Amino acid sequence: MSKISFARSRRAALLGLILQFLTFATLIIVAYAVRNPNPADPNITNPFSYIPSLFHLAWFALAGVPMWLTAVLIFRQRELEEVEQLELEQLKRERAAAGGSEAIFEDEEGGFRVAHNRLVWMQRFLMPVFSLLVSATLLGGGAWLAWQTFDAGLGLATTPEAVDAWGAYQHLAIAMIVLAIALILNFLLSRYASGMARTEGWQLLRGCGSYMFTTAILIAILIIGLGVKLYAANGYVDRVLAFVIPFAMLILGAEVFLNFILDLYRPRSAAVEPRAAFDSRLLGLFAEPGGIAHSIAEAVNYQFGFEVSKTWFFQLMTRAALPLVAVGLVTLWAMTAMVIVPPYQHVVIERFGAQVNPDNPHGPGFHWKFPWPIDKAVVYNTGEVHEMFIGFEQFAADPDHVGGEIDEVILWTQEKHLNMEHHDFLIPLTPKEALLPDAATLVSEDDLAPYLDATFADGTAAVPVNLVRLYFVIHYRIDPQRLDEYTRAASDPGEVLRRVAWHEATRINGQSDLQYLLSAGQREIGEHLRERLQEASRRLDLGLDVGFVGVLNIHPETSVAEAHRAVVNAEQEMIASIREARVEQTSTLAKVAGGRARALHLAHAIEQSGEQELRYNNAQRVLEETDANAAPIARFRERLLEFAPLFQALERAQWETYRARQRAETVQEGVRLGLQYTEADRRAASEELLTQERAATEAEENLREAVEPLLAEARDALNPEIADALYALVQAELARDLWNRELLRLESELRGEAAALLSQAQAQRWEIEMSAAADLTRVLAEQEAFRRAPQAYMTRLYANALAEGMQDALKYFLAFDPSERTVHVRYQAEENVRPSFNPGRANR
Amino acid sequence: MKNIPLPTIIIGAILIVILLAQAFTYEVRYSEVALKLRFGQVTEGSVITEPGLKFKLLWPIETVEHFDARLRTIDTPEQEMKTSDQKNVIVGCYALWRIADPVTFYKASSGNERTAIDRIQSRLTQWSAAAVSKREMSFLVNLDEQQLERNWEQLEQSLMAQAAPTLQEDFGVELVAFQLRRTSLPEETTETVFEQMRKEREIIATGYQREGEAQAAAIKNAAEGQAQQIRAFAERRAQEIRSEGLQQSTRYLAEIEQQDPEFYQWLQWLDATKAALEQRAVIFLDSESPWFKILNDMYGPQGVPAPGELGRAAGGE
Repeated sequence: MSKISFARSRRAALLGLILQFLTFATLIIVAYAVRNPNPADPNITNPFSYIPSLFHLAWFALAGVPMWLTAVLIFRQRELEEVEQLELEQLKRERAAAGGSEAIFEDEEGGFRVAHNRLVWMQRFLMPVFSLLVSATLLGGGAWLAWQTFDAGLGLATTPEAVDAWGAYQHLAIAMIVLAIALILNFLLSRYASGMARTEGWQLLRGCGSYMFTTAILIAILIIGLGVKLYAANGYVDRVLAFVIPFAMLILGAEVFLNFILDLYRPRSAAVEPRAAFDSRLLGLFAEPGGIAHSIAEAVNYQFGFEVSKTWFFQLMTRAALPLVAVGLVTLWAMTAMVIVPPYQHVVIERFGAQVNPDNPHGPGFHWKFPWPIDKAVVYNTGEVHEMFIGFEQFAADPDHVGGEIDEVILWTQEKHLNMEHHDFLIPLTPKEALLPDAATLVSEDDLAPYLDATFADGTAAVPVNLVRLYFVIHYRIDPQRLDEYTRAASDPGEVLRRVAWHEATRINGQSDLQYLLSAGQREIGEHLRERLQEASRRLDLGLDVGFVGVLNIHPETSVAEAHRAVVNAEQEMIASIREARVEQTSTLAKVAGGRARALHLAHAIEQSGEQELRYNNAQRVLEETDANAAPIARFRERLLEFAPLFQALERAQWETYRARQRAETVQEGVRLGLQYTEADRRAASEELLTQERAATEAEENLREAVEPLLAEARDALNPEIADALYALVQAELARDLWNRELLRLESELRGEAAALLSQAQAQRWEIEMSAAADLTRVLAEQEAFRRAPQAYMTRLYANALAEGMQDALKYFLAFDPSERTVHVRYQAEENVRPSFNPGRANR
Repeated sequence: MKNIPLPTIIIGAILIVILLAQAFTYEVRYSEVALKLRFGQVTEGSVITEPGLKFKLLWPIETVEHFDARLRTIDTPEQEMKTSDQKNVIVGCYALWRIADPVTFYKASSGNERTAIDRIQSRLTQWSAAAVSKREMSFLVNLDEQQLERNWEQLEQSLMAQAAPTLQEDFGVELVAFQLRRTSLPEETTETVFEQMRKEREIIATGYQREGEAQAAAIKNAAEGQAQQIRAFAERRAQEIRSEGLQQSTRYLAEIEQQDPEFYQWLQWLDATKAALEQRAVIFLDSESPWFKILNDMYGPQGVPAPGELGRAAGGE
């Protein structure tokens, strides 16, 4: 081999390097240029700012660049090595011509062959490192591109939505021309390189050529794909290519890496030209389709380091390969007659498109069918619980996971839930009468006026609706018993169900006000919707079983939610005010009577006593003013008094009813204010009140029944007015006595201010009485002495009284006769009191 | 031919069979209806509804179009419209439909299903807008459950009555349902509604505040009233008790009256004088007072002063 040969291969490699890079650059530019950023059809969305198939192919082309670079470097080193070899030989010849020995060169050959050593180093280290780089580019790029494509939700379905998701194209004709030029150049150079690679020493070009050839093939398919899209408006080939390229990159990357590993265990032989790991055996098959067997044999020989392909076993395998492949294919085909159904699926067999067993689908287990293409087994996930969300701005919002992020707190004030925006449902206005809860009835019309004006009066400006945010989840399954309906009724029963669900949600919200939705609505709406959806599923033969509909959240818009919280605060404040008043009430009553219950009881007894007294007096007056004879009245009164126990029983029953009512009101308020009472207490108190009311009614009826004949008699004998007055008189009299007795009883139990007042009065009472008694005793005791010596006795007592009485008084002795003088006394502060007098004559 | 190996012949034969099958047969799925056209013409028996493997003549003599015969959905875009009471509302509808007459559908779509669907969608949009604009907002949103049910039913019936015959005639499409999908409000109106809702809450909050104040006042007043009642009752009872004491004391006074009333009076006055002097008193005694009289009359006692004479000497603050 001459020195020129390596220069030629180096030039070819350099050309390849440049072309491979230009191909990459061209494809990238075309990928962006073909994307139409402003599609006319609004349904078409651009997932990327480039065309996926072109973009992916560009990255595929880029992975070829390191291969060509390796080839350039190795061939350049080969050239240098050759020059070095020639120079050494020249030197040897010169030494030999000069009669010297060659030995010195043999010993020191290694030291002189710098270029050769570098070449060996490059083959040992540089080639594997570049191979790894190629592998990493292919694996990393392939994985990234595949992930991006899947992540954008792109698929190969042929529905308009799925096709539109791939985005809009432009300038397809120009792109095809550019790609055609690239194709021609790539194809020519790859063939040229592959041809050169057959020459010994230039094998390195084989991998590069194969890769470029594959690039050319892919460009050709892409041109066809774009052509079909341009002329037949069908981009299927283009879309398939966008998926195929990343997977091809992954497979090639894996192969290169495997080659690298296998190369480590390959027996080394100086005679064998090392083969780069990026020299793909798989691509070799494509690049040289005529010599598949040859390629395989060569690869095996290379790996094992000897001519394996010449062994009898390999020859046998080669001869048997075709039958084996045929048997394998037939076996595979035969296996299409078997159907294995997992527990969560059912299978319907279609024979040339007609359903064989729609009414009786194959359940879990093993089943036979005719092999493909006669029968096809269509699988339905009947066990899976499908999930659908309704209530977000995105019409078909199905979050990947719900509840995965369990640490997320869901609040009314969050703009988004499950990372999605809410839809605002129209709901009716809360009616005025229901605007305020039962308890809050003290808002005047004046308070309401601004709201009412804004809402109703100005009909054109106001909107007679409210808005609410609500989302719910629907769980449904494909009913295996109704699989025929599921498959036949609708193209996509789930999507039909989704529309019905939106319709029903919009309708049910359209008739539910906010009060209802925030209270009972959350519980009731889910079940209501489930029934409606189930009914729709039956009516439209959707074959779906709606198992669960649950409202996950109902709430007003965030700023309105804040206002709702303000209401809760106001309610708390109200409760606090009432509690505070209750505390004050207890304190006031305890101060006056020693306890709240006692005070209330006492107050009631006082009131009743007064009231009965009044009734008594009124009745008395009526009787006094009448002309009727007093004797029969007195007689009837006596007879009425015989029923005293019944009158008293009624009064007691009414008293018990009053107490039960008080108790029920206290408990009711306590429950509302969150005091110690429970709902059970409230029910018990209500029941007790009912019982007491019944007892009072009964007592009244008993009394009426017993007294009625007598009253009738009295009405006849006297007159109805007198009879009634008499009845009232007796009733009031008995009741008054009863309450007075009760008051007396309560008086003894009294504490507090009232008790103090009574005990003080009691003390005064005794003081008054005892003081009079003492006076009498004194008079009786002392009058004897007084009678015997009145003057002496009186003087003694008088003088003693003066002496004792004046003991602490301030005394001023005026040593003159003041009868003709004026004495002025000036009162000052207590401690400074001094007499002041004018010693002049009084008459002056 | 003798040189051609058997496997090659078999493979070739299989490939030829596959190609022929592909060229002369077609499959109609259970979910489809197919339209077999001879030189693009509809002939008798063109519409094939029975699923299974069917035969046809080689392209381009006969071609087959497949249509999904099952229920499908069309959504009208959500668009803003005015109700008859001049309220702006955004309404989107959906329709459930299926191909009933594939020939008409094929003709109307000029071979492209998407075209037909677009045309149907345009018409549905127009019909729904017209139907909503004839009705008031309260027709769509109403607290009266039964009324709302009737409204929506009526709306659906009127939409169906308008759309179904036309679509059947023009597109060969059977309309199964045509209903409201969802409703919403334009953004500006939404803001007004939120303001309205906030006001509503403010009123409720005010209600609670007032109720709290009123109830608290009522409780306190009632308690004060009851306390007053009890105090008055205690006062009355105290008076009664004191009266009892007075009644008892009268008995003793009557007896004194019988014994010596004058002496009793004198004793009472004496006690009163003593008690009065025991208060903080300032007393001026002049030279004529009985106290000095004793000194003055040192040489001849004139007796002690009479009790009444001392009175003028007493005074007090």
